[in-house]
Amino acid sequence: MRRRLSLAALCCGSLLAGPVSNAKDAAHIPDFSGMWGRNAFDLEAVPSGPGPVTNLQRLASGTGDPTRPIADYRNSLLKPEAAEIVRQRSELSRAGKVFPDPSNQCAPFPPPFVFAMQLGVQIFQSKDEILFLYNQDTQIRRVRMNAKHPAHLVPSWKGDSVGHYEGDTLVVDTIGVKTGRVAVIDRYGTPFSKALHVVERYRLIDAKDAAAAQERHEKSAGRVGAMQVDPSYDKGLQLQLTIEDPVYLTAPLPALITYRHTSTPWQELPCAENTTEYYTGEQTPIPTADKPDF
Amino acid sequence: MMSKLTSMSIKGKFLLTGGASLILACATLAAGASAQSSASIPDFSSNGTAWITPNGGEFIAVPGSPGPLRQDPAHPFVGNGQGKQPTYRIADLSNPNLKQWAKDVMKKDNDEVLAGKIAFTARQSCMPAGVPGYMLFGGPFYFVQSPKEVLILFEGDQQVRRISLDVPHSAKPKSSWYGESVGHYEGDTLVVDTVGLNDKTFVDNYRTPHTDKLHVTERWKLIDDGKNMEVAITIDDPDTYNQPWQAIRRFRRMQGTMGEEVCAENNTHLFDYHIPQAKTPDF
Repeated sequence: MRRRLSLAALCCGSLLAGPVSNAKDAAHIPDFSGMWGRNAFDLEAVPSGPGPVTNLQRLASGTGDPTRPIADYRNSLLKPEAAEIVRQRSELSRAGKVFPDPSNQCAPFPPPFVFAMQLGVQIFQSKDEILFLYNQDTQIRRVRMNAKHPAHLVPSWKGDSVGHYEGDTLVVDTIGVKTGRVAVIDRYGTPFSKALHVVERYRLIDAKDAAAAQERHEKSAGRVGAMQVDPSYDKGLQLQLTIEDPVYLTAPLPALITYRHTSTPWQELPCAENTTEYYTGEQTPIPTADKPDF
Repeated sequence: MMSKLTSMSIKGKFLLTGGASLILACATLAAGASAQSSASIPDFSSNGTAWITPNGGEFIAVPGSPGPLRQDPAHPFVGNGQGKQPTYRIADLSNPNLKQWAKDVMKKDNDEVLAGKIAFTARQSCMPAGVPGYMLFGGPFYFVQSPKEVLILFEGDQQVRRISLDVPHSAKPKSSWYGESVGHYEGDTLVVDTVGLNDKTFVDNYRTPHTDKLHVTERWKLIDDGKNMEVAITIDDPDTYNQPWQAIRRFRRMQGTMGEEVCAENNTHLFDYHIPQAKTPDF
């Protein structure tokens, strides 16, 4: 298997002294430590105006059917070519078929797909780096703090992310996400190009507001998880997301992701051991050859 | 063969599986011994530290302890990049510490591999290697040290091992690939105790099986003025081994940034054979 070690001088910071104690103005830095969770897929709508692509497929209860993503491809933020791609993928989905995305290909989840799909995240803060650890297939994202994007960027699955604090808000800026056949923003297959630019703004919010936001989203998208809320924690975590892609989007796409502190233990979820069909629930056999082909 | 597209178009359900699995109840972990002050904790992680091992794919033996499995002299091992056809590891099953059932399983596997079967490795199959098997990866490894937890990140497929600090094991650890690891610092040493390992992994690169009674203790410390790191490992599985045994692994310090190594997209490196792909999508 391939092994690679970049010798770039970029550093991952020590977390020895805890999440914030190394920072000069540690008192002002919000503490995002611990495990955060949500119980529904998809990007959350913003309070008003155009937002993320939503699911037209509804359950009898009226909520979105989380097992069958059939997009509202007429979303005004989609340029015609993007809308057509989303429409075609929705037709596949309507026919009970699956189109490739990072999740069903066991690939890394780039931003913003990672926000739409991952239900659990743990955040490790240090002076020089923020490490995001996502639950599904144990995906890692590293954000260099108070740094600039390199002048010459080699596109990668998760792109180049730099961050800084603005008061009580962590701001993360990502570019350089590589494209390919699973370059999608969401479960609906909304495409992105190499011009993708994602800005994340994280801040702690009141736990009641977080609960209300999650409830609204679950009514829209459908509940799939069973994350247990940590009742001792009085804050939620909200991510305000802006997705720019002038190739496929008519304007920056705003979205929210709302997490609550969870007491549910971290779960190992290796992608490679899951052989369950998306729609049928049947087990697909692992491909085997009668004889080695080498 | 089935097409790659077919074989890999199945993982979307994983999302639901993942979400549903969050239903598992939280284990109650009472506070354990008081934590060592951060000032005296050994630094395995700062300044972009990465750890790689020059020791190859075997455990280092410890004098006085039953020894690790070794290659059968009748079938010399040839690793990658040696200018000759690489071979699989074939264990010398005369090791007296191994229970007979394990020898029987390994004998059958060895015979099949020698007859042409592709030997299983976790890396080939994009699967977690478990404890202590993951220590036989070459690296790079990255440590993340926080007050409550230590993470050991393996760059390959970005696997993550988690060690909870200063807490006892839960009453009934859930079986998992990397088990339940608890740890604490003893002076310059990070001590890690792991139970709750599933029996799907192998102890070593000889594909030595184990049971769910496997219990592994690790003692990690810097050596050679911090240029290197050593882990002393005790491996206990009364159903697999006649007695507990000890081994060592050593790692060399490097500075670097974690690269993206994606197991699922790597189809070019192992003997140049490729993940099967269809010429046209089958949907």
